[in-house]
Amino acid sequence: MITKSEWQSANRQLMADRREQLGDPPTAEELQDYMDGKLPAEEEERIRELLVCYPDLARSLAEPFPTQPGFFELYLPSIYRTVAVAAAAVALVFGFMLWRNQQEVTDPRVSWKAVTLMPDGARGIEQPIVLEPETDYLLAPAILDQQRFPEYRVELVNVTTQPHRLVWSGTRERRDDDTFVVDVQRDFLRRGRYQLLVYGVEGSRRERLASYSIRVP
Amino acid sequence: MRLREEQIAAIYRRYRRRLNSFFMRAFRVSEQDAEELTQDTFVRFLQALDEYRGDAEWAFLEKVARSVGYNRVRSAHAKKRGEGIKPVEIDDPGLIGVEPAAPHEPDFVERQHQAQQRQRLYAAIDGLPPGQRQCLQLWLDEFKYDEIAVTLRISQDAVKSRIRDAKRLLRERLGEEPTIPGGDE
Repeated sequence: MITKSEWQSANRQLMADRREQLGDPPTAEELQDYMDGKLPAEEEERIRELLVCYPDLARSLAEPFPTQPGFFELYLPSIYRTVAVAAAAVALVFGFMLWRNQQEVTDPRVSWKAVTLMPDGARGIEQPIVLEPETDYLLAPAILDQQRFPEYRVELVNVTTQPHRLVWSGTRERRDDDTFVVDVQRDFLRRGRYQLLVYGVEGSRRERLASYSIRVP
Repeated sequence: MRLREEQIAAIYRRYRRRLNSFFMRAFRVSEQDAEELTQDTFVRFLQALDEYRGDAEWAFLEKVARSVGYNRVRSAHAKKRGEGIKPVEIDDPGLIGVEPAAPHEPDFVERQHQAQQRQRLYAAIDGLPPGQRQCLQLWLDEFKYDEIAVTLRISQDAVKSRIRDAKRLLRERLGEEPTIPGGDE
């Protein structure tokens, strides 16, 4: 049986011998004219024979030229790229904000400053309590009144404005040392004068127990 | 219409990758060589602007690219021929006293048989009518029917019928016909 490689070996030999006989491969111009069908029959046949014995050239001739890219093929990748870059930037910003938020939630708050407040009229010299705006405070207003109430309410009123404006209020537990705990974050305090008020609440009755004048310079 | 250089640069940026891959496929060249051919193509494109009509940019680019590729194949063949046989440096001191191991080769009888077989097949292929021989030769070189059709500028049906006729003639003359595993059938 004749093998494939024997056929191909004989064919390669034949191609090599024909290259010797026929000479150089056709020029680019001849090939162009051949493909365009512009050559006379005899010349066309000569090119055909040359192509058979120069298969690398024939192979390149047979290789289709890529089709012209359309508008979307040309510009869609750059549009995609732009959108992707914008999306990545937005994701980065949101990611950073989320991280900041997480940090704020999980970071230990070591800068709280605890201050026990004595009520107005019990501090000796009647000066407002001064709080620095850059600091977070744990305020512990103390009350001297021994009367017990089932519930206590604490309010922070901005007295710089006219009329005065309630900026925060909440119920608090009276602790064993007769103080309440009020946390005030630095962002919350704007420059001005405030009054912290503590009320005792029993049913519909509300009694003011103490006030604390505060100034934020 | 005459294209300005910025427009040529835009065309280059747009089509460079397509041209590179075309050169790699069609001319079996490395990526680096393909890049070189692409650059040559654009240089030629720039030089040939006077011939360019401006309404068929892609077709003109194909013409130039193919031309650049064909010239490369041509010059590669010319170079091979120019190299000829290299003389052996018999007085190379590095070769004195060195006996290289003989490569494994078939023995004389086997070689004789192979040579005779090759000669027989050579004569059989060469003896075919030109149209059949051309188709068969490309087919033996593992061209597909559609590639043979494009190369010889004939229809695929003509390619098939010529190869079939060539095989029949070879079977009559040799008692066997060529088969190429994996080729078009």
